[in-house]
Amino acid sequence: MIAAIATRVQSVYDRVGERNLSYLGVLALLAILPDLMGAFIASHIIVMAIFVMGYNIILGFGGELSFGHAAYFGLGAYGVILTLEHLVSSLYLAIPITVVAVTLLSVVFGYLSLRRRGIYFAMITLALAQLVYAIVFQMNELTGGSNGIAIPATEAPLGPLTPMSNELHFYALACALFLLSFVAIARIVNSPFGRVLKAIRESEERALHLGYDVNSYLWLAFAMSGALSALAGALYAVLFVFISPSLLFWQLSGEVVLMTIIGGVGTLTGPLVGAIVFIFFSNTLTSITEHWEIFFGAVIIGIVLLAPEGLIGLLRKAVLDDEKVFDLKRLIERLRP
Amino acid sequence: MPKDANNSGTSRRQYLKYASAGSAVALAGCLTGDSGSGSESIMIGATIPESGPYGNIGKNQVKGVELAVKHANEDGDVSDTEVEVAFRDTKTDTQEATQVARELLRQENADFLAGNFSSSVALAIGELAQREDVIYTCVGGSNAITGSDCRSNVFNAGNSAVQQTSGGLKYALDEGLGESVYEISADYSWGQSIQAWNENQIVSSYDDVEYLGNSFVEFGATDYSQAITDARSSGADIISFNLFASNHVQSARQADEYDLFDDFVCVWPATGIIEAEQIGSDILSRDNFYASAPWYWQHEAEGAQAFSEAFQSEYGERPLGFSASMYAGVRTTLKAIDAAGGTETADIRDQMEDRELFPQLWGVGEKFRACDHRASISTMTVQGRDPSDVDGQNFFEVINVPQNPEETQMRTCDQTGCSF
Amino acid sequence: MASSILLNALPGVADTLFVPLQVEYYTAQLFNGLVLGMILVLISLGLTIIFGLLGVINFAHGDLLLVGTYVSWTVMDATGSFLLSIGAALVATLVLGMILERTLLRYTYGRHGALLQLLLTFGIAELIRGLVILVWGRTGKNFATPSWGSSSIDLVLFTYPVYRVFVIVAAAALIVAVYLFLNRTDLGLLIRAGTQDREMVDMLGIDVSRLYMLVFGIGVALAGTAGALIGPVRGAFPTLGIELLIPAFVVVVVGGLGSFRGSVVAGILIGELQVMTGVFYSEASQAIVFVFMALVLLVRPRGLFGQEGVVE
Repeated sequence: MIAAIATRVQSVYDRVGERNLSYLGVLALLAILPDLMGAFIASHIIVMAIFVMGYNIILGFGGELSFGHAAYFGLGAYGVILTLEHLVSSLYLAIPITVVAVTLLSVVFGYLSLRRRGIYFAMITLALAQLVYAIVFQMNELTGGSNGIAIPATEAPLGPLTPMSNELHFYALACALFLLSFVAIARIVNSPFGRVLKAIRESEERALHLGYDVNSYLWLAFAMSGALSALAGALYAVLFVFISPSLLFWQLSGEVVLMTIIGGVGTLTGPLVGAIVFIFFSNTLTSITEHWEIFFGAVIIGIVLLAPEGLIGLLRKAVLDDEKVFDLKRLIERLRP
Repeated sequence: MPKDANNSGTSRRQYLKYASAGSAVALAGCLTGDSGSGSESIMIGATIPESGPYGNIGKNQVKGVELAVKHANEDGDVSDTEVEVAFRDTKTDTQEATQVARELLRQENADFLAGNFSSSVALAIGELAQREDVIYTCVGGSNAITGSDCRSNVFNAGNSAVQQTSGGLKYALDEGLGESVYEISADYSWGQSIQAWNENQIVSSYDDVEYLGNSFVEFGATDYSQAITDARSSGADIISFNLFASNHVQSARQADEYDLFDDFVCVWPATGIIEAEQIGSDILSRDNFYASAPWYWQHEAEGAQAFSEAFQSEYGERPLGFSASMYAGVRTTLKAIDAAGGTETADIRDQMEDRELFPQLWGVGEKFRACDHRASISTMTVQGRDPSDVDGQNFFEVINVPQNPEETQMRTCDQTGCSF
Repeated sequence: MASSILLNALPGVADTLFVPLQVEYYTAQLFNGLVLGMILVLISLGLTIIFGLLGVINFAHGDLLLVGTYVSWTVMDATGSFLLSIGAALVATLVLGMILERTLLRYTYGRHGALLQLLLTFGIAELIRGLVILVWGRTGKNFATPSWGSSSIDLVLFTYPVYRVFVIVAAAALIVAVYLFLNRTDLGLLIRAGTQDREMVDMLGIDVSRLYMLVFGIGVALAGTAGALIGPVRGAFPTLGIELLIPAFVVVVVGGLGSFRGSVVAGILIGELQVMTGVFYSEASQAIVFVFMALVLLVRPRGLFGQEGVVE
């Protein structure tokens, strides 16, 4: 029975091709999400999926583990609010201004962090993110400090849409940006730049010998990843209206790694899957138990020990027996001290 | 300005208008009775921290709201309408708080929001309440809530930083306990509020009192050794510890460790029985320990005694000051809804302004001031009882209860910077 | 009433100098920094020992410290003996650490690497914190200072709380003990040898896996003991561990991963830096340690005492 289904799936899979199939799957998911979970949670998922997609550039394609991406996400959120408050009145100007500013910061932080690799890189990114947290926490005249801050109440119409006040409209906007980013990343991964990144991920040493300026490539990947994280953060502020410094705390940096792993490191569709599973899971968990940390921790441990290649990898292995599953082992070997 | 939000909320609001029009009750019931579940009730959305650093206080406040709802239903605060309440945990995080407040409005169809005692959270939910056009009855000390950042839908049933420090530092100065002041303040809206008021208004109003400085400590920090060393070296006569709840406890213990009680008058602006229990009567009963309390269960006012006993017999513990504020705040809001004949926000607001709090737990004619929506409750000064005299939760000796707080303990309406 | 002469000696208050009081003031602040510094040393020593041998950065370190704090609080509450409570925290976290290594971490050495180990310890951190909250509650406990330590003692130049003097002395004794253990005992030398070259120790026919278990236990126990010591200073609350873990990370990065000397020097340095910055410009006291770390990394990427090649 199962074998028959598997064969069936395999034959559909062969005909349509993996890439097209996964693209179709993404579109179908986007279409049904608001009906399944409501517009607010669906929007939250898409925002996080953009974040994970951005994060995946540096971890999945660059092969470097950052533990400080909450900084770019959180600054995206704070940035759009502060820009709206002090610089421009249009949300659709504030978002690009914020993304550019945060990207510039990620260029600086990327330079500092990429002086080291592996565990050191992870800890430096973490510490730099905590620096941002400490500063935002401390500058309470500007940021509201521990009080948090609210996005100025504006209408921000976008054609027929009013994403600021209507959650379904917001969802449409977020989906458009998600798809744009998705296509952009798909193209980048298959560009010469993407191929060099892959080469670096497989073996930095070999890439060096081939004459590639490894650091510059990783640096660019880091900046791109910072840019998408900032975009996601800006959207988050629009969706949630109120934000607090916890958005910059390392917990979120850990969660984005987790979402990336759940979905499958270095895959295109993984981020969406990871975000759906994670947001749904954590929402359910916090609503049914006060002690969500226990389950959260247990699930992380379970995933690490039992399914380190993520859900997509697991699915492929179980149903499709695909040999081309992204080789996490090799990535891991690189990270080994 | 009022915008009708979602359908069920609107229908209930309209319904309520009909319902309380007396004779139309039966008819309206027939027409709309089945249109939405629970539409014959008022739903309170209560946002209170039940976990995190203020969880202990929050749990007591939850009981205050529960008791208010129970008594409101028994006494018929809103005629012929049942009052219900749904609770959500704010975790004392502004983002979490606004998120759960939104949930209460969307999922539970709350008619108004109530609860909380953290200034930061009060400011955030207040902003949300304004945008969503619902009443928010809260407790929160920051002067900004009923001052520079005041919102017309927000009513504050607790005392402000000005009131709190009037029972604390101002009392100490009035009594001539010292002539110079140093402060240690938590670096967030409430602590900043008290610090600024003390420096700019209180101390400067005495010709012979010197202000020697302030050390801000990060919100959430629990080791004050550096600030205490600053304060000790300042040589001030009086140290004002503008620290709240577990931070109050922590700082009182550390003041003792650094032997501050030997040489300094130490003042805390907001104390309660939970803090007292944790600090311990050994430290509490030091001669130089003074604190201001928003309310204390041994308050002599008639309303206070009745409430205190009812709370004790219901829950087997004493109510905190913030619970007393919330109890009176919720019942007063319900009375205002009754008087307004519905849950239309503008109507309730009109009814709440200058309305006397019910019941009168302070017994000084306290009301929601119309100009800033702050309750004109009286803030008392307490000292710790000797350990041998402590029996149950009677930790404090009340040494001063101002009878005319609006004049002696509050900003004038002009000073608030808020005018509705 | 206190004399009000020395207010002038405070930075930012006035500019008249009053030298003896200045000395008293700054010495007391240096001691405040030392208390924090010594705690950071204990935490980062544990981190660095574990990293040195196992190659694992333990993100659960902070929450294991939390276990130490709460165990100590419980024993103190039940028996009234603080010394006993420290011992209990040490033993409990030692055992817990060894169990965690045996049941979870060991499965990640062979086929998995740093990424998954990092995530695994992140998961363990959440799990442990969740269990601590389950047992002791979310609101935190008031951790009373032991009665023998709740007042100040005259140290000639200045007076200082007895308990805090005890923290400094106890932490110093523990650091010396760890140093002696690593340098004077066979087992310690084996651990150091393993840090230099794991395979060689393996070839000597020594059961490396038991060595791993023991080292993880010792590292965690150092954190647990630090947790017990800091309890009366900071109180017991669920985010205490995370609060201390981040500066401890900075310490190991600044000092150099895997370096004993680095942890000790950088720990004290970071503690002092944080407190003394607070004395002069309190707004920067949190941010300064990260700025300092960034500067160190620019000048000396492997940290003050880090060895080339140990981490890459």
